Amino acid sequence: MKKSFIVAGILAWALWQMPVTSWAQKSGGDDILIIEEDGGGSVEDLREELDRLADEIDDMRDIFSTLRKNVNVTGYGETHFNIPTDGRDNTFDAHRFVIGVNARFNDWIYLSAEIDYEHAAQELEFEMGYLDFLLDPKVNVRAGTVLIPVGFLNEFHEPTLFWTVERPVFHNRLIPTSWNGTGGGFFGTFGDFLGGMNYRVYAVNSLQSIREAGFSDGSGVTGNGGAAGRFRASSGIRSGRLQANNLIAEDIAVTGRIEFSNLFPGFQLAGSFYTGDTTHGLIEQGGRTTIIEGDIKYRYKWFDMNASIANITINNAAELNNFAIAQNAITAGTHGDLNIASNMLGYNIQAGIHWPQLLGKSTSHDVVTHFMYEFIDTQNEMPAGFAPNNGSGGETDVYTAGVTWFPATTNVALKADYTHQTFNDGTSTDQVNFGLAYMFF
Amino acid sequence: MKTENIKQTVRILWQGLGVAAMVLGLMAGNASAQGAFSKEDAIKKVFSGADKIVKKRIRLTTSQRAAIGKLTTQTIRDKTMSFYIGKKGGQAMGYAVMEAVKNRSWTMRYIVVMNEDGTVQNVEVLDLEGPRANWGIQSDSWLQQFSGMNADSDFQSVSAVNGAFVSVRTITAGVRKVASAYRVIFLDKVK
Repeated sequence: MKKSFIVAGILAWALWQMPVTSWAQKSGGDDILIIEEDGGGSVEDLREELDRLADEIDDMRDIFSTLRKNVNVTGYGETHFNIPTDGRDNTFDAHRFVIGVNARFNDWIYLSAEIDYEHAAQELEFEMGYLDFLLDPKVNVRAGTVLIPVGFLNEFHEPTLFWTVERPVFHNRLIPTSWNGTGGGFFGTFGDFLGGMNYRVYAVNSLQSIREAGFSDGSGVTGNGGAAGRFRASSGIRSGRLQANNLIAEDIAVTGRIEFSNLFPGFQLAGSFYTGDTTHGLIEQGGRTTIIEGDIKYRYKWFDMNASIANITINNAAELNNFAIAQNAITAGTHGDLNIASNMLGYNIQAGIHWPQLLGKSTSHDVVTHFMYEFIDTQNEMPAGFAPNNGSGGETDVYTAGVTWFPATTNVALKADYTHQTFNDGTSTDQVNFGLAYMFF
Repeated sequence: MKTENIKQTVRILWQGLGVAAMVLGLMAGNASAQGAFSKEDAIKKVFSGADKIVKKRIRLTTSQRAAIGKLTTQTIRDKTMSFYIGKKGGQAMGYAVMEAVKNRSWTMRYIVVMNEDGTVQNVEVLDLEGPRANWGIQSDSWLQQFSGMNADSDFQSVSAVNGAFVSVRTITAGVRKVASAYRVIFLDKVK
């Protein structure tokens, strides 16, 4: 134990000593005279120059009024048209409209917040709201309702940042994007270390794996003083997320992510973890849930790809299921979709082609065709006495192919794709999706 | 490890984070994230060792703006551009342009230094306000991918940085604009 402390200490000291690019510290320089050189000219030239200067001052006034605001509004949105080809109804869904506010209190304290209006503003979520205390590029403090730093999509989930109409199933059923927690921790960067290393580590309220009869999942005021949640067979830990509405916080989780953003040109490697008890004192056992995740991104000219893998272990899964069964006995039917697994597993891989680049066209447009394969198994390993669910709640293979057009801006995306899902009982679903996505700031 | 021990570990870690936060908070007296400094200092640093630095302010004509816009696939609104030319022994060390732009919500200032042949010599991020995880674009290892690029280069191949998508696009567009402006003004000599 002592040895590992010493090794960790030496490593921490070494990282601290790593040079971080901080231009402000490098500035200074020799005392060199800067000479302004301009092309003289006639009185008419000077008059013209004065006119130009007047124009430029007006422009600069506009620019500075934008730049120096201490509060800025940002946001994003997406609307979907889903067309199942297997007999289900077609649907329109104004899936998300998110308004964000970024504020600066001084040059080292910032606020980042987002309110999420989902499904035509029929669902409201406090997506995030935290303060950043910028101390040093290597170590900074973040506190409030933060986005859990697991996977590459959860923290940066704006719909123009991924190609598919719907978020990948991996980032829905396995990593419950978008997922927040309330608490705080540290974040920073170690400049040029292995091509640039960023990290986040937080302590936040933990997921809730079980709830008592009489309470409903999700937001509301019916939980243990606030929101309630529980794990399920089909959606894994997703329904265990809690909004910060007097949420139960008897268990605290630790989560973090480390990213090597430029390990070699175009290649990013990252890993994430999350671990915490989840029963919040409702039963004796802790129901510790641990996620280990890894992801890569790579782009070489017109070829672009990403891949993710995650494994979730849930301790005391049998006890969690027995508790849920007991609650069902108290109030029948309130705990459907039972059979929490002791292990969940999933991975995906997506590749895309940027066509203007491939064809050598110089344009501000981008058109990407893409294909993705996903494997999701929220019933990967079951506790003794419990059998895995079949059908759409169990092992699933997902194939998605589509095209995305960024019309002269990367902040608007028009998407179309086709998704085919097969389940381990031999059934399948097929769906065509169209999407409008935008991001503003 | 028993559940209670794990809980205890988490509590200790949580308290440790609090203590560390307080200690770091005390350090915050110097906690200006990206300290402001003068344009002159930045230029002098870029051309360290120069005998003199000449500021050449170019009034862009409509034709020049159109030519730069075509090369960059951007709409060029600048009416002037200032090139700082570092000279040593009568030879130009490089041509530098400094720009301040809105990057998502906050300001980013960067400097692009061009070689006489129209290739990018160096790019430095001078100020990068804001708290998102976009500091990766300040690292030399990321910025050096611009070195050697010119107005004809494939700027879409610039590596993305997770959490810094907007910053990457902003600075990439800026470097492309400077490289194209240099080409139009000094190499193609468009009037």
